[in-house]
Amino acid sequence: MTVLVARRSRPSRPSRPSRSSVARAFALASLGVVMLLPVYYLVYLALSQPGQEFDFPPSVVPHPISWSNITDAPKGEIRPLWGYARNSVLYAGLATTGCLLTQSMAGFAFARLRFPGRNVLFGLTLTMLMMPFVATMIPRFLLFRQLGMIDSLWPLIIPWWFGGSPYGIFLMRQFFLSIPPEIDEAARVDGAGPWRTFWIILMPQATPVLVALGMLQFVYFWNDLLGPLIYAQSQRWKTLPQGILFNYQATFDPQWALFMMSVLWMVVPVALLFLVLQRRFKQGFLFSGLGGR
Amino acid sequence: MSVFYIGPLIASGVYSLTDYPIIGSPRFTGLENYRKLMDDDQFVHAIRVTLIYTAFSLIIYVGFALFVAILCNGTGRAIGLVRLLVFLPSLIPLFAAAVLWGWLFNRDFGLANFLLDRVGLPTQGFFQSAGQALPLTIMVGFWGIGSAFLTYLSGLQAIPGDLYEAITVDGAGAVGRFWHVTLPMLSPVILFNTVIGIVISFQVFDIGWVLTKGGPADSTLFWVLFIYRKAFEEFEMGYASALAWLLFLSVAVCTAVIFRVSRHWVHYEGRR
Repeated sequence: MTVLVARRSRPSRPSRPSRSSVARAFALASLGVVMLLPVYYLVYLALSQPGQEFDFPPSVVPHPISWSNITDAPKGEIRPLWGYARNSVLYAGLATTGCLLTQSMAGFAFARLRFPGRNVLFGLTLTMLMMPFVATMIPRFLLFRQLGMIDSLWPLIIPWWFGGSPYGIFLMRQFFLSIPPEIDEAARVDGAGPWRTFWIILMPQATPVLVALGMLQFVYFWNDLLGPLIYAQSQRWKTLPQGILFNYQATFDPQWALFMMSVLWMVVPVALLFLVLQRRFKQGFLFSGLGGR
Repeated sequence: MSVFYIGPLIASGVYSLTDYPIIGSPRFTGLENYRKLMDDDQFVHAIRVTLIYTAFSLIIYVGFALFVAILCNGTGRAIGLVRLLVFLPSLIPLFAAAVLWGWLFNRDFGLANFLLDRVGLPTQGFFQSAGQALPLTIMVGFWGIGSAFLTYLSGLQAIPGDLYEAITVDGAGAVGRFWHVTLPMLSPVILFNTVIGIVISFQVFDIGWVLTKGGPADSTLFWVLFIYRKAFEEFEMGYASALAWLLFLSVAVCTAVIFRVSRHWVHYEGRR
């Protein structure tokens, strides 16, 4: 893979930086700075001395910097955050896995397989996409109550192992439709059925889109407040957003610095995960083989 | 799966034909609710606010995100860092992000006014000003392009590099490469983000609910906020259902039109 990447980027470029590359670097730098704004403010508040978050006039860095917030925040005002973190990892991890498996299969079916009612079913999927969440919330709750699954993480995980949201199905369909059919045909000639074609030929191609979808879904579950509010009712099953609000905002005197530090604790692991995974934003090897090279 | 989606849709369709104050049972009134909303000035205003928001949000979510993704697509030092910085604001949970924006643009102690004051400009009302609240809510969308950005980036990576080489050999410049390779090859993802963008911006609720509650002077009264008010503050369930149904139909019609038009500009390599 490395070899192929290196070969692709070989076409000789002028060694002197051109005007357009300087402009691009400048655009990237200013983009980075602007995007940093809310994150900077988050970090600023997170490192402020509790009680001095809004001191006037504000300085570039909080004064004094309260490093002890880093270790104080996870201890919680009322209850430590680690138990909530475990539930969040369970919820986000299991739900994301389900999403990636079932949504890619459904997307593949809509893009590649021919079966009666395909267009009607896809239309129905899009219809679901357009429905406000509030409309489906109540019947779903009633269903899981009948199944006796209230006060657990199951109602938050199980739907995602049955297709889950239309968003991922639609995205995967769009991706599979953009793959040249010659690849499937070659596999079929070699005797592979749709199942094998999907797993061995198409899924490795889909790494970039799977990384993107996985990341987006994970962030959605990780930050989800409404879902756990409905289903995870006892402290045993509550997730991080609930835990943070419970510890630092529902109290008589909200500790905003520690609140923001807890949020930062939520953001940093996901940011690191993204930093590792974004290296996977490289196309699968098959594509580079097209076009007769 | 569809049972839990289609069921409530039909139910709210039935409710929309009734007069249903939440206590008591619904009374059938036919199309009365729909006639009523034609004359409801506040509703017409809410539609206007929603359409303005949707139009500008689409430019940001579909257009600006595409620009950023192309910018961040190349190789080079620190490209991973810039990608992270673009995605980072989308990682902040909404319950915290809304608090952050509210404080940054607070009229009395916000950093924005502090900086304006430093350079000698007058203090602004921001979210507390009827003229500025809507543009500001739209502007916050610049930091919410994370999902569109990621899907574009993955789409860009799926474009075979040979296509670029071929067209460069044919003498195409950067504009030609964008117009004849990037745009057609990326069109399925552009369609995806356009549809998603319409769905989420027509239904915008959270940000308005947390930051402005529809105010000041109804300047950020989005469609769903209006439904929420009618249903859970004024308890007109029948009327609210009619509003919700009309919203659903509008989004459906928009999406159908986009799909119909997409046949002319979306290029599917896998379906010839």
